[in-house]
Amino acid sequence: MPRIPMYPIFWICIIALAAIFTSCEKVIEVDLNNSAPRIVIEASLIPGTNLFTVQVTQTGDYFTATDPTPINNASVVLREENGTPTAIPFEAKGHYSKTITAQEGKSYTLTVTIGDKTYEAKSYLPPVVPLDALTLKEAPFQGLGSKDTTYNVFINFTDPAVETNSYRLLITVNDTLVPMSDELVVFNDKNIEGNTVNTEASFNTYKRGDHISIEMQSIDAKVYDFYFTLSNILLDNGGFSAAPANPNTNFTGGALGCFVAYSSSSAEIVVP
Amino acid sequence: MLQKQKQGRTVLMLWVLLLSTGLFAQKVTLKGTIKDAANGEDLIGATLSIAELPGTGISSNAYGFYSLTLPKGKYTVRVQYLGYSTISEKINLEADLSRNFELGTADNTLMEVQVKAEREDQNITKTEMSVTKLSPKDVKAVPILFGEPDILKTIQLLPGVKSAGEGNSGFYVRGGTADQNLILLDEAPVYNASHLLGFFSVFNSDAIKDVTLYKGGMPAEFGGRTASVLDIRMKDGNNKNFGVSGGIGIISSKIAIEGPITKGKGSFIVSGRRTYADVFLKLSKNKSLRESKLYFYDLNLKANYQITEKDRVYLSGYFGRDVFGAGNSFGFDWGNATGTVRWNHLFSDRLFSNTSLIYSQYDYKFNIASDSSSKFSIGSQIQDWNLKQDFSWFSNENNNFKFGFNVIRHNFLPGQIKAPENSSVNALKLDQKYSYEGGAYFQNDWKINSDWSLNYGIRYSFFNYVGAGTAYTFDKEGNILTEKKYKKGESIQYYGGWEPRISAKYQINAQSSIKASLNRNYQYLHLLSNSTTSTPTDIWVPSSNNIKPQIGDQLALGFFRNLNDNQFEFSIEAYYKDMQNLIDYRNGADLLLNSSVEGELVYGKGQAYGAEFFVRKNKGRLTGWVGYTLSRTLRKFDAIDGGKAYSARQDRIHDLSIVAMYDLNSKWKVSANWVFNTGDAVTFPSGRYYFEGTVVPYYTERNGYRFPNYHRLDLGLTREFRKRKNRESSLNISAYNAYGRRNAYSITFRPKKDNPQQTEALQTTLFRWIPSITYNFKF
Repeated sequence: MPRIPMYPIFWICIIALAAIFTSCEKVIEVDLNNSAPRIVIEASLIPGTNLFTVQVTQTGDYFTATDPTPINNASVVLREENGTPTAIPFEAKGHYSKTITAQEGKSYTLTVTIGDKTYEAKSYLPPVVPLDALTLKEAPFQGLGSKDTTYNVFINFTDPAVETNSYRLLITVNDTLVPMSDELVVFNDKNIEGNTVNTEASFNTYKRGDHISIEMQSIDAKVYDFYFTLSNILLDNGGFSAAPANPNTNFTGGALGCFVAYSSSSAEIVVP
Repeated sequence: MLQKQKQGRTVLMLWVLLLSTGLFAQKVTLKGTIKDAANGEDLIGATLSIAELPGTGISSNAYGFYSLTLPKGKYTVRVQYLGYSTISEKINLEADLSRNFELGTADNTLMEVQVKAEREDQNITKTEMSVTKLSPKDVKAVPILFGEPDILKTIQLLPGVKSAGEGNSGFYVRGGTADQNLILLDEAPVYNASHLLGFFSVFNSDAIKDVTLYKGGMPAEFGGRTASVLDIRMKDGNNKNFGVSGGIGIISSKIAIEGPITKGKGSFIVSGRRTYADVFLKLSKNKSLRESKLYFYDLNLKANYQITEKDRVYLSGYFGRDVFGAGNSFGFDWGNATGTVRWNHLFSDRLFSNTSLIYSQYDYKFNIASDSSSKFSIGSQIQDWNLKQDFSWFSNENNNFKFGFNVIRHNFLPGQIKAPENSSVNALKLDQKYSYEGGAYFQNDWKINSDWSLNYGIRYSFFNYVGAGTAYTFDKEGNILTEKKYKKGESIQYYGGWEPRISAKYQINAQSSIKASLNRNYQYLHLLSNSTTSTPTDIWVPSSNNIKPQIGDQLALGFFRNLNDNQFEFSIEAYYKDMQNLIDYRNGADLLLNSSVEGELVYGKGQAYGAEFFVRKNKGRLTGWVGYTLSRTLRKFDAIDGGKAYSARQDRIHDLSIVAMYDLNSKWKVSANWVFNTGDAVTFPSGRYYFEGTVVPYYTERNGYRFPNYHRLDLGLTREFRKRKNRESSLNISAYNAYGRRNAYSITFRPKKDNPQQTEALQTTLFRWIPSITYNFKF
């Protein structure tokens, strides 16, 4: 589905209304409950021979600014479809890692066992979809006060016609990766199936001299669902979403987090 | 002893009633219309009573018609409508008589009332309960955000009615959801009653004559929504003189033109409103702002004509639209259109008939054109045709029957994408959906004796979801299991049910009464919205093989008392409501352009109960009311928190509104309202974790937290300028949130900008100290 700039519309409407008058933001104290800790598993797998790392941690109190609490007593196993299981040994601080050779077009199962509890996730590593080029177009809504023309950046690629494809974009501007908490772009080919696509990568605009680099990751439908539901809670600036909920994970057993297998392709452009 | 006598009398009265038709054969009928003397507008709910027969009376119906059958005799007929002078007339009723009454407004402007009761003690004597009436005059007196008088915002100040959010025109009634309100404009359902994200309602108060809100005890003639009925009637237009009225405000301006078609026989009214923020945008130096569009408008049209003594026709229409756009690259517009053709016919002096053909439509459309290759549009629509037939049979002085039926054909276009050949986006058209909804009803308003009265009725409603179409079944995770195609007109799913509606009243004495009501409502259409505010892309879906009709059952009890010669009205109502087949969504539900959207839904139950206290002062220089509601509204979904009951977002336990209006003198009026309520129930994180280096909030339960308590004071000041022959004008100044309380519009949790390891809670407040000024005129 190409993204429809829904929330930006609401914001423009609200800003148009409220900016004339007063709308204000304030950091406040909120008394939050403590919760029983829950296991969080994070792992990503890419094609080729690379160091594969699994991170196992648990949740902590919301306002306590500490590093995540590591879980060091897990047993971690990765298995390629129809392959033999490979144990991923513990390294340090909740990290488990081993060099793994992975292939596009195969599914992988990650099993994490802690005590008598087992958490399992399966992720399909899709073949890469080449990102052909980035292009620029003058932004339809030019910022107030700024004299520089601003631009939207567009991605150009051809969606494979055969299967359901899902994508995630990682955007780097002037060597700084835009964090997930600012922008998390995921989409699927629901309405662009098999097309040569030219679509906006970001609602952000860029100015002369900006160096933009975009990595387009091909992911499976469950990973897409994870990132999509994650973006709902990370980016719901307006509080418009009716009820925030934990992202849909591909792990069974009640763990948070996700096992992400992806292949990727990149392109870059400098705003002239 | 006294009680025994009373019981004996009750039994006797029952016998008398059973024999009544035979015994008093010599009956005659008095009938006619009740109108406003100044402009000829029909008065809805004016009462006609007979001084010699206490307890006997009739209210005029929605078309100003009344009919009363009495034994022959000489009577003193009294016609009353609050805010108007009472007519008292001696009539010698020897044969059937047709008599029209015209009431003049009370001379003393200080008599103006803010919320009117049709008869001073009608809240006590009528059988119906949980009903409130408002007139636009009432609405204008209450200070409101942006100075834009708004019926939907004023009713939120009544007990049992809660606002959908800061400055929002959406409302919840007795624990129901926003889509459970049946909003009717001249009988046509309005599917999206708000403009601009809910900050304004689509009802231009200058075009509205009468508003009735049923929070419970709905009459059997209404059906289709479970929580409430908001029955809005447009003005008919002045049938005596031409007139122009209007207003100039900071957000919008409006104008209405009305006049007779043939004097005394027919009239018309055209009323329009438009916002003009975009006019100022045109003056901007910034090219993007200059090319932006941001406005909405409403157009109301109505005409009526008395063809013969027994026939009258009405034509009414509403068109409204929001338009938003940025240059050529982006456009978004949405709106409602409704139309009603009505025919009133008098089959006899006692049998009144109304036939209506009603059209109603809502649609939205996006146009997106980043460049020629990614140009496409997205749209959705719902369209209704409705045929409705209602009869009123004014049987005798103690029994009024109503019966009728209606059939609606719904046509849904859930979504489509239009795109040119070379576009990045594929064209798509989700299957249209068709359904028939209808009902037949019967009800009797029965005065058993001077103490007891009963309004009983029953409605049978049905819904038939028909082809052409595809029906899906889903597994527990919402994946499609089976798919079955249906031919055109073939029934995919049929639902039907009986809806009993009963209200009873016991008159304790002249000042007080007890009432009870029990009713069931089925709802066959459902609004899908995964946002907290009303958004244009919310879509209506029919009941189907997956979506069962929502069912609401409500039991209410009330005590009503008037004090100090009807100067004060007091009531307590307690209610319990049970809701079945409510709808919520799976996490990450995709509601837009999804052919199998039903797989994204989960179903559950709800429960609401509460007590509403209401004191109102109708007369004197100080008028107004205090309403307090103590209530809970809970939900239970198997798919949410493992089936544990949780608070609905609008579960505001305490809700208090104080509304006061004071006439300083004939020129100056001041008004104020203060509201307080428990904060909304919301979901906050109870922990956090890291994913890819970013702090992610961890949620443990739905709506387990609360916003801070909400309170706000609004002030208004009105200056009336000297009235000159047919000319009047006034200036209104108001301040919303006068003491600048920082109420939470949203509270979001995020990492700190300078140290992303640390997290903070951020509260957004929308409106503080919002001043506004409006000039209203009439000539």
